[in-house]
Amino acid sequence: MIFYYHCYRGAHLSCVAAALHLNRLQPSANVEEILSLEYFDVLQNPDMGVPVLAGYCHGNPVCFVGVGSGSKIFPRFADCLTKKMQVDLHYKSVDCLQCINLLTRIGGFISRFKGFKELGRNLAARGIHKNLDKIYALVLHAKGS
Amino acid sequence: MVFSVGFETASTPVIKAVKNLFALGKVERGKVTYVETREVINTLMVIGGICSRKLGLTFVGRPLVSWGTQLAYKQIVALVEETEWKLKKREQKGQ
Repeated sequence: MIFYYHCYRGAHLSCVAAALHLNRLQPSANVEEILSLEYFDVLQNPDMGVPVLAGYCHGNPVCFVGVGSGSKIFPRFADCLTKKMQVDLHYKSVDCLQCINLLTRIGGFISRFKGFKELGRNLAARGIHKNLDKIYALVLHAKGS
Repeated sequence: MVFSVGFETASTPVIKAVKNLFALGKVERGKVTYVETREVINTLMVIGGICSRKLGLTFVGRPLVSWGTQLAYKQIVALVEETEWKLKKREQKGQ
């Protein structure tokens, strides 16, 4: 089973979700711990669609990826294609964009600009910290199903 | 098999993500050729599409899209021919 966490840019939400999945981050983590994640706020717009292999959970690859505005389209298309092509592919795509809040949205937008990167990163991390329970619930649901 | 699918504005990352997912799952069965048709869209089709889908004005949008499609018809045909040619060439290489 491949776990595919996806959000807009793959830089914040899905990256944190993958870290939670791999127990690299605890649900009680603080803002500093979120900021210290290896791939937090690293992926940029040209990296959209390129998955990052965060690690393995019981032999299952855990990836995170940015799919731009296609977070609803991506799972539908992947499911249809595997069905139509009768491909034996076991994966679980998890849309992390449902856990976004205003702080993460603003932080994620600002962090793209030079000179505002630190401010954006901090805002995004604070926004994620606020919704960490929600992201963890999403991860648990993905792990369980 | 030939399919048509809509991706709104997210075709590039979605296709890339699906290709990578298939590669990660080591899926060999059935090669998929993705053909981006957005390059032949003209202004009439864009305006018609917005009128029809976003604004719900199908009586304005549909004729505009039809007119735009007629104007872009040769380009669409050329795109299909180019794709068929590429597929044939690939098949010849594979044999």
